[in-house]
Amino acid sequence: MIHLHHLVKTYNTRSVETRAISEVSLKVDRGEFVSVMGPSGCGKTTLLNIIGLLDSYDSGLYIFNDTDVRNLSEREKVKLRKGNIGFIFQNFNLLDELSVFENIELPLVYLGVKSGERKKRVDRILEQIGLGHRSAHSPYELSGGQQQRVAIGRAIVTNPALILADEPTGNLDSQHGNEIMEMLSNLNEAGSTIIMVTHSMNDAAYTNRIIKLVDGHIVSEKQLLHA
Amino acid sequence: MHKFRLKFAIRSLMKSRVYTLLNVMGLAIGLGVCIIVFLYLRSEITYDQHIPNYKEIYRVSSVFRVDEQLEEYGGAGVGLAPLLEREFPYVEGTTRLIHINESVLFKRPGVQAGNAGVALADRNYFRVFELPFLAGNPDNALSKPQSIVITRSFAEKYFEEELPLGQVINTNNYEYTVTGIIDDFPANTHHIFSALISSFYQDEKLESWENSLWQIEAHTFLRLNKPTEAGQLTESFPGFYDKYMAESGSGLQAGYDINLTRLDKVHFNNHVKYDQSSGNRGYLYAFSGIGLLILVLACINYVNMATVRSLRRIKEAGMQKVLGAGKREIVYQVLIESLVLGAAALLVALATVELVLEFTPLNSIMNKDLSLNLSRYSSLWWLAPLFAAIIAFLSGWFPAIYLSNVPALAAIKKGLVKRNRGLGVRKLLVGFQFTASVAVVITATLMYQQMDYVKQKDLGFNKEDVLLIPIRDTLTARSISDIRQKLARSPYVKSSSSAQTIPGKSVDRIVINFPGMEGVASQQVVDFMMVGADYFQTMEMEFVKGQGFNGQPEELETYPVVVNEAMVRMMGWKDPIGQQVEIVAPGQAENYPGQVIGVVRDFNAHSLHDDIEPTIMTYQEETAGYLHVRVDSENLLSALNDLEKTFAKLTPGVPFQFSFLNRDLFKLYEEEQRQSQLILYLTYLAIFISFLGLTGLASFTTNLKTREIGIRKVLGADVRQVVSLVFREMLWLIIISVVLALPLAYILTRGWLSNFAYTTNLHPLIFVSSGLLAILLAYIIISYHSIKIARVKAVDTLKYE
Repeated sequence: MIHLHHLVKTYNTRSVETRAISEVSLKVDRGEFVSVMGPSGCGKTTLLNIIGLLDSYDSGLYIFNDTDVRNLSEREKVKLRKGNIGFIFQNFNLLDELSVFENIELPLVYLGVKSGERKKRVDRILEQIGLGHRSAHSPYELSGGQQQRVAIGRAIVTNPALILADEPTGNLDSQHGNEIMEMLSNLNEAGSTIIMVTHSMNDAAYTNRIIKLVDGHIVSEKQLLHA
Repeated sequence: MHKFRLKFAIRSLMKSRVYTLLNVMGLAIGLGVCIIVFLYLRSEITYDQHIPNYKEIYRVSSVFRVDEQLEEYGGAGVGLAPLLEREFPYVEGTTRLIHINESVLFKRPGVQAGNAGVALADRNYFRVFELPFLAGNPDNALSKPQSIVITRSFAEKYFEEELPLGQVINTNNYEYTVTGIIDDFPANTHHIFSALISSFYQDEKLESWENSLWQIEAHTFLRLNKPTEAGQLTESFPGFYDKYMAESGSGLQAGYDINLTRLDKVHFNNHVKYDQSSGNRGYLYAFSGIGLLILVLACINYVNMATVRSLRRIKEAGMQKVLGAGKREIVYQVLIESLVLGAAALLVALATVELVLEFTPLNSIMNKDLSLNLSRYSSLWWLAPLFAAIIAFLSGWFPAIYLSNVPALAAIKKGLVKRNRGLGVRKLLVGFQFTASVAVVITATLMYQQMDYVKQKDLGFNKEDVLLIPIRDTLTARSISDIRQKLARSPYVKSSSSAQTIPGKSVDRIVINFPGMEGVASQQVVDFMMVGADYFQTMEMEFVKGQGFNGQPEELETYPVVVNEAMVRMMGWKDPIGQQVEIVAPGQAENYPGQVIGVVRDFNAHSLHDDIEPTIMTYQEETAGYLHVRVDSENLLSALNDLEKTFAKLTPGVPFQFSFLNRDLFKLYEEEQRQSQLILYLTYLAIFISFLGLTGLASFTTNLKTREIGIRKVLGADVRQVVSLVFREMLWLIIISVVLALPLAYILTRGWLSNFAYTTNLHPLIFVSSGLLAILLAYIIISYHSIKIARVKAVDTLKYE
């Protein structure tokens, strides 16, 4: 599904050139649950953003679902991202103007799904994340765990092939964090491919594979076998 | 999908309520001013278009050539119409109209007598002007003498419940029969009268027609079927001239030609004399310019404030992109918001316009009867929304593009978007706003000062506490001596006198011969006034030499005259008293010999637009004109009471009317007063909008500096230092704006002041103090915003972003 080959990303600030991603090669197959770990500033988030087509890279090859993304225009990237990739952030990034229901609905709006169909799908998601009774609330009326559940709902409502999660439990206490991890784990079992950046060994334990990044290099890969 | 976006837009606007409110207000002001300007322009360019066949009607004006000078008059001799009809068969019809400038007193038994404006017209009037009749028959309404066609409001006033058709109504001398009722005229017409009286029934012979051609008596209108016939007629007019006028013309050493102006074009032909038209294109352009300026200021505000708000929405836009929104969707979203704001602003604007036109004196200041009348301005209902949409669209474009260019990464990463992008443009826009505002503030101040000067200036007579009672009928004129004697007994009346005219109101010009002088100096045209006894005392005019009139002179060889200093200067008289003059009476064989008995200090017989002219005054007690009464200002009501009683007794049946000299004089500056009032309104709006603009920029700048302010505070900066940090950033902008505004205001005001012969001084202090005031105001606004941020705990500002 995802194929990175000798990927390089550099930042130029004045005279200093920083290599955020250095010669990274990685393959992620459909149905995998991969966690990316490493110290602050090692390039985890940059790697995730490149995979999510939010950021560009300088050299190397990136093939997403058999498409070479190198020469895609911004519009084509938007098109590819829509419905194919769902995002989950550490700080949730919900829109305050919209209710819980509408936040989840938003990606469907951009996808051009009809209003009746949207309602059906959002209702199903609300049930799945256990927040049906909160659908009319504003995000700021919810607890952190609930907000992250809404964010997950929003990420999966389009049935994306890939879910990218950037420290999804970083702002949560351990109990709520475990709930979220259970939820991601269930999604993975149901067939979703997930790549997750995390600092927590506990969270990484839910995944199939751990990739360790230091200074933009992949220094180790470890397969986890679950019972 | 659209519904979703609309909902999102409204929520988003509701979330920043203060922003939305300020923006709606700003935009509403711009739109409101434009709607009023639109109504004004429409009213100006649709003059007389209420007449269904206005495109077929042409006004004939007379062009006289005397000494190679051409002068155009909006009227013609009474014989021109029938002669043109006879000579040019394609002329479908002609009619003549004479406006009676003084209103006429109408009486009916059981109804309060009152004055009404009337005009005289010949029997063909309604055949040329196809005005719909509410009652009566237009074909023969004016075909009999003593017929009167009245307007709806005239009918309501004098006939109340009765049906007026066929009824009789009286003036002092005549009795008229109502033969028709027409609707009231709109304000944008030159045919202002509430009753039309049939006229021109003298035995009209060819000879009297021919003799009338050199006199201007009646407004003359033609009805033509084809527009080309107008050109045809003026081209073939020389033939007409040769036939009827050439002979008399060569005797007069003068020439004559006609001009035809289509009815709806008459309004802006304001170089024509003896005309009702009052249109002024310059005023039209100025007014449109003002509307446009306010709109531009308002739009600048919108762009500024929307961009400031965009800064706080960078993350939101980025997030939308992560969730699949493309550039187009973001642009679309921001434009929808803009349209929602525009719609709200339009509603506010329409409501405000309605209130302003209904409840403020704006209409009377502009001398209009504008209203948001849907049936009258049907085009407004699609034009206004369209216009609002275009404005909202254009204003929303900049912030929309700004936000749509935010990369999706902005949702996650900080510092990715250069936050001060476009700051230069915004500074320029706010600078423009500021320049315009300071310029109008100074202009308004100077205009106000000039109007104040006009009120205060010593005119050479005391204009305060003088009541004027018009003398319009012979009964009052003949009773003047009796009235004055009776008034002399009132303790509240100090003095009284009659005079043919009042200062500022149509002072006559007259030719004077000076026996004993030679060449050019032997004949001069000067101002001429006829005044009664005690005039100089009543007006509190000062004598430089000699004295005024002492009653009716006995059969004298010479008439006593009083002159002003300007006359003495012009003639170079060393000893003016006893100088001989001859008053040339036009149409009479002999001149009146006169002798100077007194010289008064120069006084302004005209408005302050004109210089003081050499003036000659003679004695005339019983004259049509005005009774001037100087009253005791402490007992004004008692004085009025005495006056009313005296008039009721001596001139029964004549309604008692009066005015105050000082107010009448101030009316001479109505146009300027109107302009200075409008400029004042404009100033309020411009200040308000600039205030919004500066607020936007100040909050933008302080926002940019939040982190810097935090760090400086941690390092020990106090609030004052923080304020000056932000103020320094904007000080140059403000200073440059003010400096640019000063010459602009100077140019604007000087043009306006050049209409006056007497002006107040353009004191530099006004310019300097207005500039300083503007800077002070800016400082206050900027301080408010910087202090707001400076007060926040340093730790919190550091967390920002």
